[in-house]
Amino acid sequence: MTDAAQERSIKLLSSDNETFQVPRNVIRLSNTINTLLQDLGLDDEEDAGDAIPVQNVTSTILKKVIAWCQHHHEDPVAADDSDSREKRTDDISSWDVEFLKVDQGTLFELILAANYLDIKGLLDVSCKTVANMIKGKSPEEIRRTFNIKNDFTPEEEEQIRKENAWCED
Amino acid sequence: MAKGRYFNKNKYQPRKRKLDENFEFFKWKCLAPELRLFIIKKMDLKTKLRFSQCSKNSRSFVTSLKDVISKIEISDIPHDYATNPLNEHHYDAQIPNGEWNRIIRDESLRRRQGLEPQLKNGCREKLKISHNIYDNNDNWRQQTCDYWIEFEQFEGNKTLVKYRNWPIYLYGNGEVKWEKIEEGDTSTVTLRYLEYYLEQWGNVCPAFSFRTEDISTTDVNLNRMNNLRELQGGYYEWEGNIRGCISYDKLMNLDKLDICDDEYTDFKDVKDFQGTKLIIQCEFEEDELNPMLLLLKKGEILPNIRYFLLKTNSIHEYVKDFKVMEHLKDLEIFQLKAIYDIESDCDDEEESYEEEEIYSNCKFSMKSLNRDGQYNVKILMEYDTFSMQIIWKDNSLE
Repeated sequence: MTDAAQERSIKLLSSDNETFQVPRNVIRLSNTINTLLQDLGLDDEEDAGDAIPVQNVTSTILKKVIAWCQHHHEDPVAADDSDSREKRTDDISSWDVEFLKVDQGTLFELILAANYLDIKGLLDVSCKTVANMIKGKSPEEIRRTFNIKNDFTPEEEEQIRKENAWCED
Repeated sequence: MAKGRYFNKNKYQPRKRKLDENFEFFKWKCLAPELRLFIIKKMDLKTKLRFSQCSKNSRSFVTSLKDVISKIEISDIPHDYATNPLNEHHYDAQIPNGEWNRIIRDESLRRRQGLEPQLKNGCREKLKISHNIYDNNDNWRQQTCDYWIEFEQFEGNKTLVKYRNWPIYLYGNGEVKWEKIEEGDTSTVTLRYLEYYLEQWGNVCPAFSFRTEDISTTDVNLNRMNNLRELQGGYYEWEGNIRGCISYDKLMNLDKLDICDDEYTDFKDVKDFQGTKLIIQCEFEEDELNPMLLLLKKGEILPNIRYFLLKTNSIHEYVKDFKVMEHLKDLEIFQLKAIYDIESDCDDEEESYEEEEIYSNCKFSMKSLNRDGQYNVKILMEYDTFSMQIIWKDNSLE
């Protein structure tokens, strides 16, 4: 991507037909958009032309996604997921913690949007937030949080509880 | 159009409804499986295990994670295997999905204070460790009941492992010597092994030694040990650090009491000990020692003891002045052994080594006459540590 391309803007069209003008160097965090622009040969075009439809993301969520990208667009590119990264849930920046203090519906939509737009950092931090959401909760509380139906028999449940008992002390 | 990392077109459709601000639950089941797995991977181990208890589906998600704890190397172990006739060991770590992974096969294990695995994945969780030994019949035999360790991360990926449960050691009295037969945590599993061994040995191996570094958590198990004693009728030996919280009445049926604790000072707790062999190794303040010896002299405590070993490095003044002998000389027959720590007197380390020969040559015997004019006191002075060993012998043992 050339410097000129970095400085220009991209228009994104949300699923509810709201257009957002986003600096190219901000939306670069989305691999989906990057790939799309490259595949269509629009990355070096002075004028990208029509807005890119982001069909799966509403304006409310897209606005938040852009805000997140705006804040993180100068972050160094994260390495691919490694084992060590995946197990830490306490390394969420305070800005992200505040950013993700949203209702569960919005959090859910943010995960889907981050996944769809392939914004690794946002997906990572939002999934960690979900993981933290159930931290310290009992299985029954987790079931309620995730609306999971318990399909274990009492015997099976007791067996699994015993198997996992070592981690509870 | 490029797809998201975990895009699932079957699961996800463009949403048309309005966002509900009051979801009662996170729409877990609406997420593509890959996304669910991605979130599970973000959970810590305890949360993963709790999550796995939610449903069969959630359990299958967690058990699909095979990389949670898979790369671990343990460079050392904290136990002394020098006396173990078997020289091949390996350790298994249980990863959260319940499978066991071989993590080490080390043939030169040495004593250390803790395990230091190199956790390549930076995991800061708990591991279940099983110690296995390669026996002479070409089989890997699980030597220990499982015990859990937990570890704290420090210096990047280097991790210090601590035992969650203090290990206990069981020694069996074979035909010619004591051999370690079991070690593990203080769970009843250990006693199950113990029962098994006792059953196997029968009259061939009628004794065992039960040792631990902290018996404060084994109080309940001692009841069972006493039951075993009644069942087997063998000789039982207890060694361990006696903490203040132990109930000594649980120990009364043991023949030997070994107290080894720097913090132990309250001797009134052992006065009801009915065995014949008392070993105390601890730090004594001089004002604590003197009353105890007086009580010993008067026979007011420990009336049945025939063997008493007091080992300390802080009573040298007593020996130097032989005041202790004043207290003990009236006893029928006893033996006192003193091993003198010359570093107590010599600040200069080189000088202490200079003194070594002198003190090693300074072994001497001191006879104290009993009523029949028989030899009954012996003092040995040796370098390195200081101890005083007092041995009572009844006439039948002469």
